[in-house]
Amino acid sequence: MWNLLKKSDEECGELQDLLEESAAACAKAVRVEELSGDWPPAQRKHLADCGSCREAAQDFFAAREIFKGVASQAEEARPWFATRVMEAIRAQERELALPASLWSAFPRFASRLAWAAAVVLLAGSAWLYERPVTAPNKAPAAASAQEYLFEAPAPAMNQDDVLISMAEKNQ
Amino acid sequence: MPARAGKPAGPTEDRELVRRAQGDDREAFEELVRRHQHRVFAVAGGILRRREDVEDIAQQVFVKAFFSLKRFDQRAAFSTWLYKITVNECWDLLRKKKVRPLVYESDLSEEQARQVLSSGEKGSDGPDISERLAARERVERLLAGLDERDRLMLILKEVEGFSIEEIAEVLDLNGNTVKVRLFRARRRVVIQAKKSGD
Repeated sequence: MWNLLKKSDEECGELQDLLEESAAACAKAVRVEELSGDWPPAQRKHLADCGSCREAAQDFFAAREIFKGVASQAEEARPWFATRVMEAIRAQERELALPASLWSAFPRFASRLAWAAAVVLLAGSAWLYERPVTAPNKAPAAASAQEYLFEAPAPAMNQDDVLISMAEKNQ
Repeated sequence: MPARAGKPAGPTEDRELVRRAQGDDREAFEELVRRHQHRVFAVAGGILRRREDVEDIAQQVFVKAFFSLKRFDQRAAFSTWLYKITVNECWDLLRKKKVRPLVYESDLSEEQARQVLSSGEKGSDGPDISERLAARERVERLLAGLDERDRLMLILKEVEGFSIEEIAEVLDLNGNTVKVRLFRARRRVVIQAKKSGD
């Protein structure tokens, strides 16, 4: 039984192959009868006996009719196409040949730069935080202290003293 | 007879052109483009609907092939390699657009609409572009229920004139699988056509 089924499948396969080949050779055929006249007797008998193959043959020609007249993408002449492709290739080559700018290299080193910046900021902040704070007048006081060793400092003049000294001068 | 997507270039000639193109011979690569562009358009047209998308993808395929050519070892035919790039680029575009190829679009692209309008002004003996585009729209509706690969197979076979072996190459299947799937796909399309009265 299995052998019979297998043989039948093989015969169906052979007939379908024959149908494809015959139809490709005869573009104007619209029915299987137009092709099967040239087939071997065994194939013609199988077609007569096998309902599946007859249905497949009918579908074959029905589909052919459905697709008749459909516009093909390949038919259209495109004489400009090869030139367009070569121009696109040249454009892409120009893009690839552009020297990498600093900014285009940036992403590559971005993580390292980020780490370096973070370390610098941390170190800078720590230094600023830790450095000793000096009093703003310490340096002048120290300098004037040196002078006091040798001469007494003149007393600081206030506004009244200034006015008095000016009046004395005018007199 | 389905439109023949140009006579396929001989594999021997292709090998020589590829070898020269790998040696930076631009004219050899341009010749490869001319020889294979129709079939690349046919494959892309079987997956994508919009003409502009088909042209953009076809260009992208050849540019990608150019920059990958030195890695191509010629174990397979150049055409096979090119078709696989085409299929992958088409699926990638559809994924990016998040549009299933089976979704029916009722609008024609701008270019197609211009063609339909201008074709009415020209007299011709054969089916004019508007009829052919209308036929394509009708077929797209019938194909809407099919698996994407079956749809591509049918279009390549019935519209673009690819052989079973060529379809098997494009889709990386064996020939028997293609035959069986084609017959099943035809059955479904015919049933759908009967239901819709086409």
